[in-house]
Parts: sequence; structure tokens; C-alpha cells
Amino acid sequence: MSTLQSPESSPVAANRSGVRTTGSSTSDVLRVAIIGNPNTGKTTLFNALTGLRQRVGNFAGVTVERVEGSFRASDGRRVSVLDLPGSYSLSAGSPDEKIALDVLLGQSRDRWRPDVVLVVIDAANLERNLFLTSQVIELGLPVVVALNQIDVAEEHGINIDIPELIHELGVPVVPTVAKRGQGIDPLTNALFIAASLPFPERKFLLPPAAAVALAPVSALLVQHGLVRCAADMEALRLLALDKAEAHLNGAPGLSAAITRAVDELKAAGFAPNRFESEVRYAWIAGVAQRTVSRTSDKVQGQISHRIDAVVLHRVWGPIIFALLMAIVFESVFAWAKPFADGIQAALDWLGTYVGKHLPAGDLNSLVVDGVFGGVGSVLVFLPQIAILFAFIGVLEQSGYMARAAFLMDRVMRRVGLHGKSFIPMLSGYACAVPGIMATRTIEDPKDRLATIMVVPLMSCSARLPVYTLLIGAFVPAIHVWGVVGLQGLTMLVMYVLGTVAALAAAAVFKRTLLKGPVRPMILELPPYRRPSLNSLAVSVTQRCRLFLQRAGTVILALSIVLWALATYPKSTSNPSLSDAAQQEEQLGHSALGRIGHGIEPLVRPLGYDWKIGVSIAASFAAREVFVSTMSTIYGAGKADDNVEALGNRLREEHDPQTGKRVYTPLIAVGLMVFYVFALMCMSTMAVTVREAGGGRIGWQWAGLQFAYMLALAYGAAFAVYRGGLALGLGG
Amino acid sequence: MATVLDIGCAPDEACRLRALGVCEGSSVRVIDDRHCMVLDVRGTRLALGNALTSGITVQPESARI
Repeated sequence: MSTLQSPESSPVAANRSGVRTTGSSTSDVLRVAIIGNPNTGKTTLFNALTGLRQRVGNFAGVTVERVEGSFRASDGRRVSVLDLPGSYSLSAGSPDEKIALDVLLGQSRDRWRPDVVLVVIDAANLERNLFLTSQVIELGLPVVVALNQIDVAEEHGINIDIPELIHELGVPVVPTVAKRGQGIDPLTNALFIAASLPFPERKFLLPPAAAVALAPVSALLVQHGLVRCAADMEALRLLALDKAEAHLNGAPGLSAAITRAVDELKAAGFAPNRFESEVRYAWIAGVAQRTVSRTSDKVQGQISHRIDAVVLHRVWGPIIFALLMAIVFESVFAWAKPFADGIQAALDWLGTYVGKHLPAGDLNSLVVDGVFGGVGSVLVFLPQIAILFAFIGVLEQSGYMARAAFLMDRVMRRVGLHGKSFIPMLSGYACAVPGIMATRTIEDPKDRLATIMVVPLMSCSARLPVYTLLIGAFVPAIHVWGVVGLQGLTMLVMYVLGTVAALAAAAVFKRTLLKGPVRPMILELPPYRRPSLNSLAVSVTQRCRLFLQRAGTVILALSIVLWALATYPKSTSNPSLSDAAQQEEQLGHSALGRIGHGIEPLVRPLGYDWKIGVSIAASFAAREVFVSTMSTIYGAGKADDNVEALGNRLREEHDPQTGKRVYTPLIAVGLMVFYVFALMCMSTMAVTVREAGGGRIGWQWAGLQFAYMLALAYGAAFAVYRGGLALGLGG
Repeated sequence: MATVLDIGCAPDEACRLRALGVCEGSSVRVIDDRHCMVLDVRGTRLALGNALTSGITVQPESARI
């Protein structure tokens, strides 16, 4: 825990008698915190309870995701539910567990306190799940246990005597099958009933010598505002922790008290660091013996073991993994295209329709180019996000995601990352936006930030138009060694360059700014399960909505700003010029054009003129804008229709003074390298701000991401151009 | 099968292991031991990195580990 509170402010201290004397809550909303081991169907249960009435954010000051939802019970009473991060214990070993403990002790920074705690247990894995349950029961809060996936347990011949379990735990226990929505109503009723029951307490006794040794620590914790049973739980928990005083945040005398308790326990023949697990598991073994009976000898998880024999096989494992990843990549890359094209076409049609009905002028241009263009640049990512998250959902719910992390762990560990960083990085090939959003599966905040920082280096689909234009125009369509096309090879080199840079950057981040101990792998490989369509639909909708709400507003605002920069100040129209020439002149005259001229000295060393400068500046919003800006400048019409014509114009462009060609293959390669590294995508920046913690911290990380990638891009393009010139490749 | 005798990892890691069911006295079965170890413990399958498994002492029950 981070701070110890005064008795007056304690939610638990007010009820020291252990019996609730007032109503369940100060408001008429019942606040429920859901906690449970990972893979117990906790989120599925949360989704079944709240449906789409969810709000996603972060816990104050940290990058741990916070999802809160609400629903109305059948009698109309309102329930607000907070989904706490999946935890194996309350030992605060990970940021997730620390958040869960803070919320349950009423010490979270956002001041959210539960009236009831709902513990979700995997019925087929009762013993392990009871460890966390036994800790939660001791916190001095009403508790309800959802015995989830009871159907799976019964299939495996595991029968649980529920009345006996209620007796053993001293809290209501409700069997549920969250995937099918079974047991939801009784569970809701139990939540209201529990709120008016006496608080549960520890159900086992410590050996007398240990109880004596721990009493002073508990007493001190009570003095610092904890209810008696929560203090007992904390005293036991702190024994096993490294640097327990850090968890106490300077509470006077506690560190010394713990040291004394540890010495006394040792003297009495106990091992303090494993004392808590020993007493809890001893109690759990008794509970399991009295409540669980097996009617079949069917070994649990036999099917999963058979699948694992193939999926984790030395040879087949990586092959299956590569095939699955190819399908994911292909689907995000290709399947999304018709939908994205459809959205684009619909928006174009709508823009044209609105454009026709608005008087010509600035308002028309603002709505058509600024708003519709801007909104379009957001909406076209939506199919990719939906498809990627549907896949991630299937991989996670089926249990394969843990195997993927296991298979990739060794490779990713070399650059200081975790196996779980692989999927977000792979998604980055399609689009950095869903890739960054997918980092939420990484628990360690430093690993997560490092992954967010490097995902945009993976060459995304928006870089393709730039690569296609420049390769088509400047790389000859010849074959090397008779078989490999030089154009395709150049494309491949660009992809490899981005990937290597991403891995190297991750290694640098993990050794500098995000330095932290590389935590050894502890990964649960859950049994394989059929995904729940309902829960899948909820999570995909949630992700899409999140993207549209947060990124959409920022992107829309920036689109309008960019439109204004490209439109004002206006040049005087010259009727003798063609439309294209007028457009070019207008662009040159606009603020954006002036920026282009302004930055010309900066891009000169890379071999670029102001026109490329302007295109780069304009493509800050979205890198594919580079192509459309170039085609505006060179009057080649709509870039998508005529990339070839634009390529020809670029090849033929000569400097009027020197007569030399403006664009050489060397400049083109330098420019491609620039786009491999540069972060020219405001959707990515908007998502980074959000995912890196939001607010000032989020902006700082996004700013750093933009700056380091720009520096990398500039340095690499400079090295390519100058190196090429030195080698005599300038022609 | 083998019985865990001692968990000699860093305290915080040992805490995590115990919460996952790997504690002194529990029975484990090693499924795979390539670059890391895959164990069955209390009906759960866990993959543990070498840095962790090297600190865990076990006593074989029927098979050598």
C-alpha cells in the first residue's frame, strides 16, 4: 500500500465491530469491485453484467487500465462495477496487484471505494483461486464469490458442495457460467444481500507462537487506521516481502516491528518468508477436501495437454505460430481494405454531396477538405482496429496468446522486452494505432511503454503509397541474380530496416529511460477454451469506440489546423494559370508553403528542395499525404489514380538554373529511408498520448517518440544521401 | 513428479510463485525444459524462466527432474 490513512478517513475503520450499522453506501448506487485470478472469466463476467455500459480509462497516475461499468438490477437499483486487474494475490508484486490492493483498502488515488467485493473463482481450479480469496476475505469488506465456469468443472467430474463452501468461506457463493450469462441474477441479488451482512473474517487460526509474534505489527497497523482483520492480513503479507518498509511508506515503527516479528518467528521455528503461503495453503487444502469431490478420473486439461504437445512442439510450434501470425497480418493488411475503401468512398460521396449544397468558398473547403478529409483519415483505420482486436480477443480467450508469448519470449528477451510485446509489434506492420492499443496485454508498465515507443518504427500500410511512388519512379524493374526483382527487394529492405530499428530502439529504451530489472518469465498457460462471441463483440466495440472518441477528437482538430495552414493566407488568383498551377501557387503562398520554404535550409543537406519540404510538412498529419501533396504540386491529378504519371514527372524534373535532375535515385532512397523512421501520423501520436498515461505524461512520451523518430529519420536520410554522394552515386 | 523443497528466488518473485501454487511442499510435474520450464502444479500449467527455476530446489517423487 502506498499510504496509511487516519482512522477518521478509513472506510474500514469506521466499522471496527465487523458489523455494518449504516446503509450499504452513502449513495443509492452499490459499488462493486471485481477481482480474480487471470483466466477465470472475470472480464467475461464483467461484460455479462454491464454489457456496453463501460467507461475505459487509466488508474490515476499509472498506465494500468481501469474499466468501470454499470447496470440496473431487476428491481431498478443501480450497481456500479469496477473491473480490477487480474491478480493471483494481494502481495503487490506487480503494479496491477498494487492497484487492486489500494482500491480494496480504499486508498486508490481516485478515491473509489467498493461497498462489496466480487471475487471470481475458476471452479475447475479451486485451490489456487482460494489463495487470493482468503486474502480478500480478510480485508474487512463484504465479499461475494462467483464460482465461475462451473460447467467446465462438472464436465471434468469435479463436484463442489456449494453450501459447504459457503460455510467454509463465510460469504455468499454463487455458481455462474459467465460465457452463457448463467447465474447473473442470483449473483446480483447476492451482492445486495452481502452488503448488509456482517463482514467476513479470517477463517483459520495461526499457531499460538506466530500469533504472539505478529500481534505488535497488527496493533501498529490498527493504530494507523486499518480495521483489525485487514491489519492481521497485512501483517502476514508483509513478512514475505522484500523491503517491506517500502510498502509501508514510512509509517513510524512498522519496519522495526516487522523485523522483530521475523526474528521471533524464526526463533519459534517458522520460515517467515513462506509463512503466509504455508498457513493459507494448509487451510485451503482442508477446504478443498471438505468441499470438492471427484466423480471421474478424467485428468483435467487432457485435451489442452494434447494441443500443447503440438502447439509448443520444437518444430511444429514455431511453424503454427508463424502461420497464425501470417493470417493475422494478412487479415489486418488485406481484409480490412474493402471496408476501408467502402468507408472512404462513402465519405467522399458525402463530402461531394455536402460540397455541392454549400456555397463555394472557404466554408465549403473547410467542410469538404478539412472535416471530411480529416474524419476520413480516422475512420479508414476502423476496420483494421476491429479486425485486429477480434483476432486478439480470439487468441486471448482461446488461451493461445499465452503460448505465443511463451514461444516469442526468448527472442524478445534479447532486446529487453517480453514475449507479449511481439503481437503489438507485428500489428505495427499493418498500422501502429491498433498495435499501440494492443500493448495493453503487457503487464509491466516499462515493457509496455518501451513497446509503445517502438511500434511506429514497424513499416505500416500508410508508408506503402510513399514506397510505391518512389520505388516505381526510381528503382529500375530489373532482376538481381536472375530471380529477385530489385523493386520488391528494395521494398523488403525498407521493412527490414524498420524492424531492426524497432528492436534496437527497444533495447536502448530498456537500458536507459525505461531501465528496470528484466523480470523472469512467469506465465500461466491456461486451458484452451472456446471464445465467447458475446464478450468478443463487447471488447471489439469497446476498442472501436475508444479509438473514435479519443483519437477522433484530436485528429479532427489537427486536420482543421492543417487545412487552415494550407489555405491561408490566400494568393491572388491569376486567371492565366491553369487550375493545377494555381493550386501550386496557392500552396506556395500559404502558411504551409512558407513553412516549406522556411525549412528548406534544413532539408537541403538531405538533397531536398522546398517542394519536398512542403510535402513532408503537410504529411505530418498522415504520411500518405506526401503523395497527394506532391501530386498537387506537380499537377499530376489525384495521386491514387495516377501514381505512374507522378513518377514520370518526378524523374523528368530538372533544375531550371543548373539543368540537373532534381530527383535522383539516391534522393529517392534517402526519402524512403526518411519515411521508414519518421513518425508522420497524428493518429499514432494521439493514441500514444492516451496509452502512455494521458495528460502531461502522455504528451511527453508522444513528444519524445516524435522527436527521436524524426532525429533518426533525419540522421539516416542524411547518411544515405551524403554517403551516396561520397561513393559517387549522386547521378 | 517432484516435491518443491525450497524456493530460493528473490522475495517478490517467490511471492508470485507461491500465489500461483508453487510453494514449499507442492507437487510439480515437469512437462518441458528447453529454454525455460513448463510445469504442471495444482492443476495449472506454468511456464517459468530459467532465472526462476534455477532457484527452486525439488525432490523427485517418481521420476528424476
